Amino acid sequence: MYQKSIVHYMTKISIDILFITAIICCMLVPFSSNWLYLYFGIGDSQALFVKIILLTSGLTCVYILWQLKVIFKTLLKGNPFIHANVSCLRKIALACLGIALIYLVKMFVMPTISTIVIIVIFVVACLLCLTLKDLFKQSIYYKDENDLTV
Amino acid sequence: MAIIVQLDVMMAKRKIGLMELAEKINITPANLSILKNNKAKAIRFSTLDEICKALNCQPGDILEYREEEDGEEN
Repeated sequence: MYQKSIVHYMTKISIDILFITAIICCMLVPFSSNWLYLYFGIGDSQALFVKIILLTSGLTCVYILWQLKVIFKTLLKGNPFIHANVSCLRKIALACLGIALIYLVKMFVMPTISTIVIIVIFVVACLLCLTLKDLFKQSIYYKDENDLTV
Repeated sequence: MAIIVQLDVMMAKRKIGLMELAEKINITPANLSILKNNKAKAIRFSTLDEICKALNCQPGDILEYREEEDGEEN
């Protein structure tokens, strides 16, 4: 039996805030030339490349947050073990891999330690999501068994 | 599935409805319907016990084994 917890609501609110913040950040990326120069010393020659990297990875993050919102919606309804969530986790895993690949491209052009850290984090996140997807799949199987036991 | 639930036959013999039986054995009509329509994957001994008690029958009167033909689904 699902028990509603304040932790779930707090996580849901955090994801909502992150989702809106991510959209605003993505919208501001095209206007970030001065900021990139001021804080990172990135000139006009590299600004376009960095903006493309930031925008593509930002939009992928928005997509990940959107999928997390879908999962949390079902969790708060009390029925998270559905095939739609397995699909969501698979999409999140693919998106994480996408971000890792985007930063892999960046690493060849502008190698930094933080880029390597991002790549490692998102590859691990991808693997975790794939594992979680399989766990959800197994849970759905057990839930179906239990639901159809009279 | 090779096991066939013949609850509807027994219910007809005892002239008892789904709602009445569900109330007697203390399970939801939805679950009893799953059992009656052969959709159930398993049955608890406690449920079987209650059904046999309510219908005054043996488990063999409710459950039947039929050999599956090759290629038959479920």
